[in-house]
Amino acid sequence: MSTQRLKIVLIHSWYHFWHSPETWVDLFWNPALQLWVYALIALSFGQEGDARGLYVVVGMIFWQIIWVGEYAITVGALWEIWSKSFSSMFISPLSMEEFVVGQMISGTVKSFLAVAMTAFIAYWLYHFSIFTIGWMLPIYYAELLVFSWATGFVILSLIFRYSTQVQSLSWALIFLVQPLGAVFYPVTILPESIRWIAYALPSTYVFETMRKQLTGGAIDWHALGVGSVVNIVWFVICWIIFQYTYKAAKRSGAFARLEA
Amino acid sequence: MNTVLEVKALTKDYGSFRAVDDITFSIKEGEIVGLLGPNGAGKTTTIQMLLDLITPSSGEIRYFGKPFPKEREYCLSRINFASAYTHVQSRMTVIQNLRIYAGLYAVAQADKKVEELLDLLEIRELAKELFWHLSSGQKTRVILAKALLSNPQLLLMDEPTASLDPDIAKKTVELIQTLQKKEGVSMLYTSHNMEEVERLCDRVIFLDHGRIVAEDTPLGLTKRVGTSRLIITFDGPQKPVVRYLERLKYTHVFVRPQMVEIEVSDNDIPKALFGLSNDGVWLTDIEVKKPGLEDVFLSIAGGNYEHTTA
Repeated sequence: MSTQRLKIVLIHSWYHFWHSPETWVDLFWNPALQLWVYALIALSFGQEGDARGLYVVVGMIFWQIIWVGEYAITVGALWEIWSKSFSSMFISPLSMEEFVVGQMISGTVKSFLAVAMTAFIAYWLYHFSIFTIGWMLPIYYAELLVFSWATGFVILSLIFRYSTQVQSLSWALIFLVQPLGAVFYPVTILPESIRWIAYALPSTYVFETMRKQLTGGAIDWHALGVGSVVNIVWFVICWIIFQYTYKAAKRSGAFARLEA
Repeated sequence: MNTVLEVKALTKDYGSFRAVDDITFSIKEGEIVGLLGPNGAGKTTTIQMLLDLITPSSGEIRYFGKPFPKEREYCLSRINFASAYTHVQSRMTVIQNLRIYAGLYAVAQADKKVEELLDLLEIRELAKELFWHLSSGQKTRVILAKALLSNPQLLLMDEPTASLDPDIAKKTVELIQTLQKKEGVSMLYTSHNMEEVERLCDRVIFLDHGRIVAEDTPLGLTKRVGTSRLIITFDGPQKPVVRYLERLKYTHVFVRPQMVEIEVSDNDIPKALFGLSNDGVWLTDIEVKKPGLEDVFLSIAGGNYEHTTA
Protein backbone atom coordinates (compact mmCIF):
# COMPACT_ATOMS: atom_id res chain seq x y z
CA MET A 1 0.00 0.00 0.00
CA SER A 2 1.64 3.24 -1.15
CA THR A 3 0.74 6.39 0.80
CA GLN A 4 1.80 8.46 -2.22
CA ARG A 5 -0.78 6.74 -4.42
CA LEU A 6 -3.41 6.94 -1.67
CA LYS A 7 -2.81 10.68 -1.59
CA ILE A 8 -3.28 10.80 -5.38
CA VAL A 9 -6.58 8.88 -5.14
CA LEU A 10 -7.78 11.46 -2.60
CA ILE A 11 -6.75 14.38 -4.82
CA HIS A 12 -8.48 12.62 -7.72
CA SER A 13 -11.62 12.29 -5.60
CA TRP A 14 -11.50 16.00 -4.72
CA TYR A 15 -11.00 17.11 -8.36
CA HIS A 16 -13.89 14.90 -9.41
CA PHE A 17 -16.16 16.07 -6.61
CA TRP A 18 -15.47 19.68 -7.51
CA HIS A 19 -16.55 19.18 -11.15
CA SER A 20 -19.60 16.97 -10.45
CA PRO A 21 -22.68 18.85 -9.24
CA GLU A 22 -24.62 15.54 -9.32
CA THR A 23 -22.49 14.37 -6.40
CA TRP A 24 -23.30 17.52 -4.43
CA VAL A 25 -26.99 16.81 -4.99
CA ASP A 26 -26.64 13.19 -3.86
CA LEU A 27 -24.55 13.99 -0.83
CA PHE A 28 -25.99 17.29 0.35
CA TRP A 29 -29.20 18.37 -1.35
CA ASN A 30 -31.10 15.10 -0.90
CA PRO A 31 -30.03 14.56 2.74
CA ALA A 32 -30.82 18.20 3.55
CA LEU A 33 -34.33 17.91 2.15
CA GLN A 34 -34.88 14.56 3.86
CA LEU A 35 -33.74 15.92 7.21
CA TRP A 36 -35.96 18.96 6.76
CA VAL A 37 -39.01 16.73 6.15
CA TYR A 38 -38.10 14.29 8.91
CA ALA A 39 -37.50 17.08 11.44
CA LEU A 40 -40.93 18.52 10.65
CA ILE A 41 -42.53 15.06 10.96
CA ALA A 42 -40.75 14.73 14.30
CA LEU A 43 -42.23 18.07 15.40
CA SER A 44 -45.69 16.86 14.38
CA PHE A 45 -45.37 14.06 16.93
CA GLY A 46 -45.53 16.59 19.73
CA GLN A 47 -43.06 18.43 21.91
CA GLU A 48 -39.37 18.53 21.11
CA GLY A 49 -37.75 15.71 22.99
CA ASP A 50 -40.60 13.32 22.31
CA ALA A 51 -38.86 9.96 21.91
CA ARG A 52 -40.49 9.13 18.57
CA GLY A 53 -39.46 12.45 17.03
CA LEU A 54 -35.98 12.13 18.45
CA TYR A 55 -35.60 8.63 16.97
CA VAL A 56 -36.53 9.87 13.52
CA VAL A 57 -34.19 12.89 13.60
CA VAL A 58 -31.22 11.03 15.08
CA GLY A 59 -31.80 8.12 12.73
CA MET A 60 -31.72 10.41 9.72
CA ILE A 61 -28.53 12.22 10.80
CA PHE A 62 -26.64 9.00 11.43
CA TRP A 63 -28.10 7.34 8.35
CA GLN A 64 -25.92 9.74 6.34
CA ILE A 65 -22.78 7.95 7.56
CA ILE A 66 -23.99 4.61 6.18
CA TRP A 67 -25.27 6.15 2.96
CA VAL A 68 -22.25 8.35 2.17
CA GLY A 69 -19.65 5.74 3.17
CA GLU A 70 -21.18 3.15 0.89
CA TYR A 71 -21.87 5.67 -1.89
CA ALA A 72 -18.25 6.86 -1.94
CA ILE A 73 -16.94 3.37 -2.65
CA THR A 74 -19.50 2.20 -5.20
CA VAL A 75 -20.32 5.42 -7.03
CA GLY A 76 -16.64 6.42 -6.83
CA ALA A 77 -15.87 3.31 -8.92
CA LEU A 78 -18.89 3.84 -11.17
CA TRP A 79 -17.78 7.35 -12.10
CA GLU A 80 -14.54 5.84 -13.43
CA ILE A 81 -16.43 3.11 -15.29
CA TRP A 82 -18.79 5.67 -16.87
CA SER A 83 -15.75 7.72 -17.91
CA LYS A 84 -14.03 4.62 -19.37
CA SER A 85 -11.11 5.50 -17.12
CA PHE A 86 -11.37 2.63 -14.63
CA SER A 87 -8.97 0.39 -16.56
CA SER A 88 -6.59 3.32 -17.13
CA MET A 89 -6.19 3.57 -13.37
CA PHE A 90 -5.40 -0.11 -12.90
CA ILE A 91 -2.88 -0.38 -15.70
CA SER A 92 -0.86 2.10 -13.66
CA PRO A 93 0.89 0.85 -10.51
CA LEU A 94 -2.28 1.67 -8.53
CA SER A 95 -3.74 -1.44 -6.90
CA MET A 96 -7.43 -2.14 -6.29
CA GLU A 97 -6.77 -2.08 -2.54
CA GLU A 98 -5.25 1.40 -2.77
CA PHE A 99 -8.20 2.62 -4.83
CA VAL A 100 -10.76 1.22 -2.39
CA VAL A 101 -8.96 2.50 0.70
CA GLY A 102 -8.75 5.91 -1.00
CA GLN A 103 -12.51 5.86 -1.54
CA MET A 104 -13.04 4.84 2.09
CA ILE A 105 -11.05 7.85 3.31
CA SER A 106 -12.77 10.13 0.82
CA GLY A 107 -16.13 8.75 1.98
CA THR A 108 -15.21 9.49 5.59
CA VAL A 109 -14.51 13.13 4.77
CA LYS A 110 -17.71 13.44 2.73
CA SER A 111 -19.73 11.82 5.52
CA PHE A 112 -18.38 14.44 7.98
CA LEU A 113 -19.71 17.14 5.69
CA ALA A 114 -23.10 15.43 5.21
CA VAL A 115 -23.49 14.75 8.95
CA ALA A 116 -22.44 18.30 9.85
CA MET A 117 -25.02 19.74 7.47
CA THR A 118 -27.88 17.48 8.60
CA ALA A 119 -26.92 18.01 12.25
CA PHE A 120 -27.13 21.75 11.67
CA ILE A 121 -30.63 21.44 10.13
CA ALA A 122 -31.72 19.21 13.04
CA TYR A 123 -30.49 21.84 15.50
CA TRP A 124 -32.18 24.67 13.61
CA LEU A 125 -35.59 22.98 13.16
CA TYR A 126 -35.80 20.54 16.03
CA HIS A 127 -33.32 22.03 18.51
CA PHE A 128 -31.51 18.73 18.77
CA SER A 129 -27.74 18.99 19.21
CA ILE A 130 -25.71 16.04 18.02
CA PHE A 131 -23.22 16.87 20.79
CA THR A 132 -25.67 15.72 23.44
CA ILE A 133 -24.41 12.24 22.47
CA GLY A 134 -21.09 13.30 24.00
CA TRP A 135 -17.99 11.15 23.79
CA MET A 136 -19.99 8.22 22.42
CA LEU A 137 -20.36 10.15 19.16
CA PRO A 138 -17.01 9.02 17.61
CA ILE A 139 -17.71 5.42 18.67
CA TYR A 140 -21.13 5.33 16.99
CA TYR A 141 -19.64 7.14 14.02
CA ALA A 142 -16.80 4.65 13.60
CA GLU A 143 -19.13 1.64 13.92
CA LEU A 144 -21.48 2.94 11.24
CA LEU A 145 -18.60 3.93 8.96
CA VAL A 146 -17.07 0.44 9.08
CA PHE A 147 -20.49 -1.04 8.29
CA SER A 148 -20.92 1.35 5.35
CA TRP A 149 -17.56 0.30 3.89
CA ALA A 150 -18.46 -3.37 4.20
CA THR A 151 -21.74 -2.90 2.31
CA GLY A 152 -19.81 -0.87 -0.26
CA PHE A 153 -17.47 -3.84 -0.84
CA VAL A 154 -20.42 -6.19 -1.45
CA ILE A 155 -22.21 -3.84 -3.84
CA LEU A 156 -18.97 -3.18 -5.74
CA SER A 157 -18.48 -6.95 -5.96
CA LEU A 158 -21.92 -7.25 -7.56
CA ILE A 159 -20.95 -4.57 -10.10
CA PHE A 160 -17.72 -6.45 -10.91
CA ARG A 161 -19.70 -9.66 -11.31
CA TYR A 162 -22.77 -8.37 -13.17
CA SER A 163 -21.37 -5.14 -14.66
CA THR A 164 -23.20 -1.82 -14.78
CA GLN A 165 -26.57 -3.47 -15.36
CA VAL A 166 -26.76 -3.68 -11.54
CA GLN A 167 -25.38 -0.19 -10.96
CA SER A 168 -28.63 1.07 -9.43
CA LEU A 169 -27.90 -1.16 -6.44
CA SER A 170 -25.32 1.49 -5.50
CA TRP A 171 -28.20 3.79 -4.60
CA ALA A 172 -30.93 1.29 -3.84
CA LEU A 173 -29.60 -1.73 -1.96
CA ILE A 174 -28.34 0.15 1.07
CA PHE A 175 -31.89 1.40 1.77
CA LEU A 176 -32.82 -2.14 2.82
CA VAL A 177 -30.91 -1.34 5.99
CA GLN A 178 -33.40 1.41 6.90
CA PRO A 179 -36.40 -0.86 7.59
CA LEU A 180 -34.48 -4.00 8.50
CA GLY A 181 -31.80 -2.33 10.60
CA ALA A 182 -34.32 -0.40 12.73
CA VAL A 183 -32.74 2.94 11.92
CA PHE A 184 -35.79 5.01 12.98
CA TYR A 185 -37.56 2.78 15.51
CA PRO A 186 -36.77 0.11 18.10
CA VAL A 187 -36.17 -3.41 16.84
CA THR A 188 -39.24 -4.58 18.76
CA ILE A 189 -41.42 -2.77 16.20
CA LEU A 190 -40.30 -5.26 13.54
CA PRO A 191 -42.28 -8.50 13.13
CA GLU A 192 -40.70 -11.11 15.30
CA SER A 193 -39.97 -13.42 12.35
CA ILE A 194 -37.51 -10.95 10.80
CA ARG A 195 -35.89 -9.50 13.90
CA TRP A 196 -32.95 -11.88 13.44
CA ILE A 197 -32.10 -9.96 10.26
CA ALA A 198 -31.93 -6.76 12.26
CA TYR A 199 -29.60 -8.41 14.77
CA ALA A 200 -27.38 -9.64 11.93
CA LEU A 201 -26.76 -5.99 10.95
CA PRO A 202 -24.16 -4.12 13.03
CA SER A 203 -25.99 -0.82 12.58
CA THR A 204 -28.95 -2.10 14.62
CA TYR A 205 -26.83 -2.28 17.79
CA VAL A 206 -25.57 1.26 17.26
CA PHE A 207 -29.05 2.75 16.77
CA GLU A 208 -30.50 0.75 19.66
CA THR A 209 -27.72 1.85 22.03
CA MET A 210 -27.98 5.44 20.84
CA ARG A 211 -31.76 5.57 21.33
CA LYS A 212 -31.42 4.14 24.82
CA GLN A 213 -28.73 6.68 25.69
CA LEU A 214 -30.71 9.65 24.34
CA THR A 215 -33.87 8.73 26.23
CA GLY A 216 -32.02 8.74 29.51
CA GLY A 217 -30.98 5.13 29.85
CA ALA A 218 -27.50 3.82 30.53
CA ILE A 219 -25.18 2.94 27.67
CA ASP A 220 -25.68 -0.71 26.83
CA TRP A 221 -22.05 -1.79 26.52
CA HIS A 222 -23.02 -5.38 26.03
CA ALA A 223 -25.14 -4.57 22.98
CA LEU A 224 -22.42 -2.30 21.63
CA GLY A 225 -19.81 -5.02 22.17
CA VAL A 226 -21.93 -7.59 20.32
CA GLY A 227 -22.48 -5.02 17.58
CA SER A 228 -18.71 -4.49 17.25
CA VAL A 229 -18.10 -8.21 16.90
CA VAL A 230 -20.87 -8.48 14.27
CA ASN A 231 -19.32 -5.47 12.54
CA ILE A 232 -15.86 -7.04 12.40
CA VAL A 233 -17.26 -10.35 11.12
CA TRP A 234 -19.39 -8.48 8.56
CA PHE A 235 -16.38 -6.42 7.41
CA VAL A 236 -14.06 -9.42 7.05
CA ILE A 237 -16.66 -11.48 5.16
CA CYS A 238 -17.47 -8.59 2.82
CA TRP A 239 -13.75 -7.93 2.16
CA ILE A 240 -13.19 -11.62 1.36
CA ILE A 241 -16.22 -11.58 -1.00
CA PHE A 242 -14.83 -8.45 -2.65
CA GLN A 243 -11.35 -9.91 -3.15
CA TYR A 244 -12.77 -13.17 -4.45
CA THR A 245 -15.14 -11.43 -6.88
CA TYR A 246 -12.43 -9.08 -8.14
CA LYS A 247 -10.13 -12.00 -8.93
CA ALA A 248 -13.00 -13.99 -10.48
CA ALA A 249 -13.96 -10.97 -12.65
CA LYS A 250 -10.38 -10.78 -13.92
CA ARG A 251 -10.46 -14.50 -14.72
CA SER A 252 -13.83 -14.36 -16.49
CA GLY A 253 -13.02 -11.14 -18.38
CA ALA A 254 -15.94 -9.33 -16.69
CA PHE A 255 -13.57 -6.78 -15.16
CA ALA A 256 -12.10 -5.81 -18.54
CA ARG A 257 -15.62 -5.58 -20.01
CA LEU A 258 -16.90 -3.17 -17.34
CA GLU A 259 -16.36 -0.15 -19.59
CA ALA A 260 -17.81 -1.78 -22.69
CA MET B 1 19.29 -5.67 -27.84
CA ASN B 2 17.47 -6.40 -24.61
CA THR B 3 14.09 -8.03 -24.60
CA VAL B 4 11.45 -5.77 -23.07
CA LEU B 5 8.53 -8.18 -23.34
CA GLU B 6 8.54 -11.93 -23.48
CA VAL B 7 5.32 -13.89 -23.86
CA LYS B 8 5.43 -17.68 -23.61
CA ALA B 9 2.59 -20.08 -24.39
CA LEU B 10 -0.03 -17.52 -23.34
CA THR B 11 -3.53 -19.01 -23.37
CA LYS B 12 -6.95 -17.75 -22.37
CA ASP B 13 -10.00 -19.98 -22.15
CA TYR B 14 -13.54 -18.81 -21.47
CA GLY B 15 -15.17 -22.10 -20.62
CA SER B 16 -14.82 -24.25 -23.72
CA PHE B 17 -13.98 -21.26 -25.94
CA ARG B 18 -10.26 -20.59 -26.43
CA ALA B 19 -9.79 -16.86 -27.06
CA VAL B 20 -5.98 -16.92 -27.10
CA ASP B 21 -4.24 -20.14 -27.98
CA ASP B 22 -0.69 -20.78 -26.86
CA ILE B 23 0.93 -17.65 -28.28
CA THR B 24 4.64 -16.96 -27.90
CA PHE B 25 6.42 -13.81 -28.99
CA SER B 26 8.82 -11.17 -27.75
CA ILE B 27 9.61 -7.50 -28.31
CA LYS B 28 13.11 -6.11 -28.30
CA GLU B 29 14.23 -2.71 -27.13
CA GLY B 30 13.24 0.02 -29.63
CA GLU B 31 11.17 -2.35 -31.74
CA ILE B 32 7.62 -1.64 -32.95
CA VAL B 33 5.61 -4.81 -33.32
CA GLY B 34 2.17 -4.84 -34.91
CA LEU B 35 -0.46 -7.19 -33.57
CA LEU B 36 -3.05 -7.73 -36.28
CA GLY B 37 -5.97 -9.94 -36.99
CA PRO B 38 -9.67 -9.95 -37.80
CA ASN B 39 -12.28 -9.11 -35.15
CA GLY B 40 -12.32 -11.80 -32.49
CA ALA B 41 -8.79 -12.94 -33.32
CA GLY B 42 -7.68 -12.39 -29.72
CA LYS B 43 -5.74 -9.10 -30.02
CA THR B 44 -7.60 -7.20 -27.31
CA THR B 45 -7.66 -10.20 -24.95
CA THR B 46 -3.89 -10.52 -25.41
CA ILE B 47 -3.33 -6.86 -24.61
CA GLN B 48 -5.66 -7.06 -21.60
CA MET B 49 -3.66 -10.00 -20.27
CA LEU B 50 -0.47 -8.01 -20.83
CA LEU B 51 -1.97 -5.27 -18.65
CA ASP B 52 -3.30 -7.56 -15.89
CA LEU B 53 -6.91 -6.66 -16.66
CA ILE B 54 -7.56 -10.32 -17.52
CA THR B 55 -5.90 -13.27 -15.81
CA PRO B 56 -4.46 -15.77 -18.31
CA SER B 57 -5.50 -19.43 -18.12
CA SER B 58 -1.88 -20.42 -18.59
CA GLY B 59 1.41 -19.11 -19.93
CA GLU B 60 4.01 -16.65 -18.89
CA ILE B 61 4.53 -12.90 -19.31
CA ARG B 62 7.84 -11.23 -18.48
CA TYR B 63 8.62 -7.52 -18.73
CA PHE B 64 12.31 -6.60 -18.61
CA GLY B 65 13.00 -10.11 -17.38
CA LYS B 66 10.59 -9.81 -14.41
CA PRO B 67 7.54 -12.07 -14.08
CA PHE B 68 4.18 -10.35 -14.51
CA PRO B 69 1.88 -9.80 -12.68
CA LYS B 70 3.98 -11.07 -9.77
CA GLU B 71 6.19 -7.96 -10.09
CA ARG B 72 3.17 -5.84 -11.00
CA GLU B 73 4.34 -2.48 -9.65
CA TYR B 74 7.84 -2.78 -11.17
CA CYS B 75 6.47 -3.74 -14.57
CA LEU B 76 3.50 -1.35 -14.77
CA SER B 77 5.60 1.63 -13.78
CA ARG B 78 7.79 0.98 -16.86
CA ILE B 79 5.09 0.42 -19.46
CA ASN B 80 2.02 2.37 -20.52
CA PHE B 81 -1.05 2.02 -22.66
CA ALA B 82 -3.02 4.14 -25.10
CA SER B 83 -6.25 3.19 -26.78
CA ALA B 84 -9.10 4.90 -28.53
CA TYR B 85 -11.45 3.03 -26.19
CA THR B 86 -9.86 3.79 -22.83
CA HIS B 87 -10.07 7.29 -21.46
CA VAL B 88 -9.15 9.38 -18.45
CA GLN B 89 -11.67 10.84 -16.00
CA SER B 90 -14.13 12.85 -18.09
CA ARG B 91 -15.15 15.15 -15.19
CA MET B 92 -11.65 16.41 -14.66
CA THR B 93 -9.66 18.89 -16.72
CA VAL B 94 -6.84 17.77 -18.96
CA ILE B 95 -4.17 19.12 -16.64
CA GLN B 96 -5.81 17.60 -13.57
CA ASN B 97 -5.88 14.21 -15.27
CA LEU B 98 -2.24 14.49 -16.30
CA ARG B 99 -1.22 15.48 -12.77
CA ILE B 100 -3.14 12.53 -11.32
CA TYR B 101 -1.47 10.03 -13.64
CA ALA B 102 1.92 11.64 -13.07
CA GLY B 103 1.30 10.99 -9.37
CA LEU B 104 0.18 7.39 -9.89
CA TYR B 105 3.34 6.71 -11.92
CA ALA B 106 5.47 8.66 -9.41
CA VAL B 107 6.91 10.77 -12.24
CA ALA B 108 9.93 12.79 -11.15
CA GLN B 109 9.49 16.54 -11.72
CA ALA B 110 5.88 15.87 -12.64
CA ASP B 111 4.88 19.48 -13.35
CA LYS B 112 7.79 19.95 -15.76
CA LYS B 113 6.95 16.70 -17.55
CA VAL B 114 3.26 17.67 -17.85
CA GLU B 115 4.25 21.05 -19.29
CA GLU B 116 6.55 19.38 -21.83
CA LEU B 117 3.81 17.04 -22.98
CA LEU B 118 1.25 19.83 -23.26
CA ASP B 119 3.61 21.46 -25.75
CA LEU B 120 4.70 18.30 -27.53
CA LEU B 121 1.14 17.16 -28.18
CA GLU B 122 -0.09 20.70 -28.85
CA ILE B 123 -2.77 20.56 -26.17
CA ARG B 124 -1.69 23.51 -24.04
CA GLU B 125 -4.83 25.46 -24.94
CA LEU B 126 -6.91 22.48 -23.74
CA ALA B 127 -5.21 22.20 -20.35
CA LYS B 128 -8.12 23.68 -18.41
CA GLU B 129 -10.87 22.03 -20.46
CA LEU B 130 -12.86 19.17 -18.99
CA PHE B 131 -11.96 15.94 -20.78
CA TRP B 132 -15.55 15.25 -21.85
CA HIS B 133 -15.67 18.60 -23.68
CA LEU B 134 -12.91 17.53 -26.08
CA SER B 135 -13.25 16.19 -29.63
CA SER B 136 -12.09 12.64 -30.47
CA GLY B 137 -8.82 13.91 -31.92
CA GLN B 138 -8.12 16.05 -28.87
CA LYS B 139 -8.93 13.14 -26.55
CA THR B 140 -6.50 10.93 -28.46
CA ARG B 141 -3.74 13.46 -27.92
CA VAL B 142 -4.52 13.67 -24.20
CA ILE B 143 -4.47 9.86 -23.95
CA LEU B 144 -1.11 9.84 -25.71
CA ALA B 145 0.17 12.45 -23.27
CA LYS B 146 -1.03 10.24 -20.40
CA ALA B 147 0.73 7.27 -21.96
CA LEU B 148 3.99 9.19 -22.34
CA LEU B 149 3.99 10.78 -18.88
CA SER B 150 5.88 7.94 -17.28
CA ASN B 151 8.62 7.80 -19.95
CA PRO B 152 7.60 4.20 -20.69
CA GLN B 153 10.10 1.75 -22.07
CA LEU B 154 7.24 -0.13 -23.70
CA LEU B 155 4.03 1.36 -25.02
CA LEU B 156 1.01 -0.83 -25.75
CA MET B 157 -1.32 0.82 -28.24
CA ASP B 158 -4.73 -0.60 -29.08
CA GLU B 159 -6.11 1.10 -32.18
CA PRO B 160 -4.99 4.56 -31.06
CA THR B 161 -6.25 6.18 -34.26
CA ALA B 162 -9.66 4.48 -34.43
CA SER B 163 -12.53 6.95 -34.89
CA LEU B 164 -10.18 9.76 -35.92
CA ASP B 165 -10.48 11.80 -39.10
CA PRO B 166 -7.85 10.73 -41.67
CA ASP B 167 -5.85 13.94 -41.26
CA ILE B 168 -5.79 13.69 -37.44
CA ALA B 169 -4.97 9.97 -37.69
CA LYS B 170 -2.07 10.81 -40.02
CA LYS B 171 -0.78 13.44 -37.59
CA THR B 172 -1.07 10.97 -34.72
CA VAL B 173 0.93 8.34 -36.59
CA GLU B 174 3.58 10.94 -37.43
CA LEU B 175 3.71 11.86 -33.77
CA ILE B 176 4.13 8.22 -32.73
CA GLN B 177 6.95 7.86 -35.28
CA THR B 178 8.66 10.98 -33.99
CA LEU B 179 8.36 9.78 -30.40
CA GLN B 180 9.74 6.39 -31.26
CA LYS B 181 12.73 7.94 -33.01
CA LYS B 182 13.31 10.47 -30.22
CA GLU B 183 12.77 8.26 -27.19
CA GLY B 184 13.46 4.80 -28.64
CA VAL B 185 10.29 3.46 -27.04
CA SER B 186 9.33 -0.13 -27.87
CA MET B 187 5.73 -0.57 -28.96
CA LEU B 188 3.10 -3.21 -29.41
CA TYR B 189 0.62 -1.75 -31.84
CA THR B 190 -2.80 -2.93 -32.97
CA SER B 191 -4.77 -1.25 -35.72
CA HIS B 192 -7.21 -2.03 -38.47
CA ASN B 193 -5.41 0.50 -40.65
CA MET B 194 -2.90 -1.62 -42.56
CA GLU B 195 -1.18 1.37 -44.14
CA GLU B 196 -0.47 2.68 -40.65
CA VAL B 197 0.94 -0.65 -39.53
CA GLU B 198 3.11 -0.98 -42.63
CA ARG B 199 4.47 2.48 -42.01
CA LEU B 200 5.15 2.06 -38.29
CA CYS B 201 5.99 -1.53 -37.54
CA ASP B 202 9.31 -3.33 -37.77
CA ARG B 203 7.57 -6.67 -37.39
CA VAL B 204 3.99 -7.86 -37.59
CA ILE B 205 2.27 -10.70 -35.77
CA PHE B 206 -0.98 -11.94 -37.30
CA LEU B 207 -3.49 -13.57 -35.00
CA ASP B 208 -6.43 -15.63 -36.16
CA HIS B 209 -8.77 -17.59 -33.90
CA GLY B 210 -6.42 -16.86 -31.01
CA ARG B 211 -3.32 -18.30 -32.68
CA ILE B 212 -0.30 -16.69 -34.30
CA VAL B 213 -0.67 -17.53 -37.98
CA ALA B 214 2.12 -15.36 -39.36
CA GLU B 215 5.02 -13.35 -38.03
CA ASP B 216 7.46 -11.41 -40.18
CA THR B 217 8.43 -7.95 -41.34
CA PRO B 218 5.64 -6.16 -43.27
CA LEU B 219 7.63 -6.70 -46.50
CA GLY B 220 8.22 -10.38 -45.72
CA LEU B 221 4.52 -10.93 -45.14
CA THR B 222 3.39 -9.18 -48.30
CA LYS B 223 5.87 -11.14 -50.40
CA ARG B 224 4.00 -14.28 -49.45
CA VAL B 225 0.68 -13.22 -50.93
CA GLY B 226 1.73 -13.46 -54.56
CA THR B 227 0.93 -11.14 -57.40
CA SER B 228 0.76 -7.42 -57.98
CA ARG B 229 -2.12 -5.74 -59.79
CA LEU B 230 -1.40 -3.85 -63.00
CA ILE B 231 -4.06 -1.30 -63.86
CA ILE B 232 -3.91 -0.12 -67.44
CA THR B 233 -5.96 2.57 -69.14
CA PHE B 234 -5.90 2.46 -72.94
CA ASP B 235 -7.31 4.13 -75.99
CA GLY B 236 -9.19 2.21 -78.64
CA PRO B 237 -11.14 -1.06 -78.71
CA GLN B 238 -11.04 -3.78 -76.03
CA LYS B 239 -10.61 -6.62 -78.50
CA PRO B 240 -6.78 -6.62 -78.89
CA VAL B 241 -6.39 -6.26 -75.13
CA VAL B 242 -8.66 -9.24 -74.41
CA ARG B 243 -6.94 -11.29 -77.12
CA TYR B 244 -3.48 -10.62 -75.66
CA LEU B 245 -4.49 -11.26 -72.02
CA GLU B 246 -6.30 -14.49 -72.91
CA ARG B 247 -3.37 -15.67 -74.98
CA LEU B 248 -1.03 -15.27 -72.01
CA LYS B 249 -3.68 -16.52 -69.53
CA TYR B 250 -3.50 -13.48 -67.27
CA THR B 251 -6.38 -13.16 -64.80
CA HIS B 252 -7.99 -9.83 -65.52
CA VAL B 253 -11.10 -7.75 -65.05
CA PHE B 254 -12.32 -4.69 -66.93
CA VAL B 255 -12.96 -1.95 -64.37
CA ARG B 256 -14.27 0.32 -67.15
CA PRO B 257 -14.48 -0.27 -70.94
CA GLN B 258 -11.02 1.28 -71.33
CA MET B 259 -9.49 0.23 -68.02
CA VAL B 260 -8.34 -3.27 -67.16
CA GLU B 261 -6.90 -4.69 -63.93
CA ILE B 262 -4.47 -7.58 -64.46
CA GLU B 263 -3.02 -9.93 -61.85
CA VAL B 264 0.63 -10.33 -62.71
CA SER B 265 3.88 -11.27 -60.98
CA ASP B 266 6.42 -8.45 -60.54
CA ASN B 267 8.74 -10.05 -63.11
CA ASP B 268 6.02 -10.18 -65.76
CA ILE B 269 5.05 -6.49 -65.55
CA PRO B 270 7.47 -5.26 -68.31
CA LYS B 271 6.55 -8.23 -70.50
CA ALA B 272 2.83 -7.48 -70.19
CA LEU B 273 3.32 -3.79 -70.96
CA PHE B 274 5.57 -4.38 -74.01
CA GLY B 275 3.30 -7.19 -75.23
CA LEU B 276 0.20 -5.00 -75.17
CA SER B 277 2.08 -2.16 -76.81
CA ASN B 278 3.45 -4.46 -79.56
CA ASP B 279 -0.09 -5.69 -80.22
CA GLY B 280 -1.06 -2.13 -81.05
CA VAL B 281 -2.75 -1.12 -77.80
CA TRP B 282 -2.29 2.58 -77.07
CA LEU B 283 -1.57 2.77 -73.30
CA THR B 284 -2.59 6.09 -71.74
CA ASP B 285 -2.03 5.31 -68.05
CA ILE B 286 -0.29 2.61 -66.04
CA GLU B 287 -0.59 1.91 -62.32
CA VAL B 288 1.08 -0.93 -60.42
CA LYS B 289 -0.51 -1.96 -57.11
CA LYS B 290 1.86 -4.04 -55.00
CA PRO B 291 0.34 -6.41 -52.44
CA GLY B 292 0.10 -4.81 -49.00
CA LEU B 293 -0.69 -5.92 -45.49
CA GLU B 294 -4.33 -5.45 -46.36
CA ASP B 295 -4.00 -8.30 -48.86
CA VAL B 296 -2.31 -10.40 -46.16
CA PHE B 297 -5.14 -9.50 -43.78
CA LEU B 298 -7.83 -10.40 -46.33
CA SER B 299 -6.00 -13.58 -47.18
CA ILE B 300 -5.88 -14.58 -43.49
CA ALA B 301 -9.48 -13.59 -42.88
CA GLY B 302 -10.44 -15.64 -45.94
CA GLY B 303 -8.44 -18.61 -44.68
CA ASN B 304 -6.11 -18.64 -47.72
CA TYR B 305 -2.88 -17.81 -45.95
CA GLU B 306 -0.11 -20.30 -45.41
CA HIS B 307 0.54 -20.34 -41.63
CA THR B 308 4.19 -19.61 -41.14
CA THR B 309 6.42 -17.50 -38.96
CA ALA B 310 9.72 -15.98 -40.00
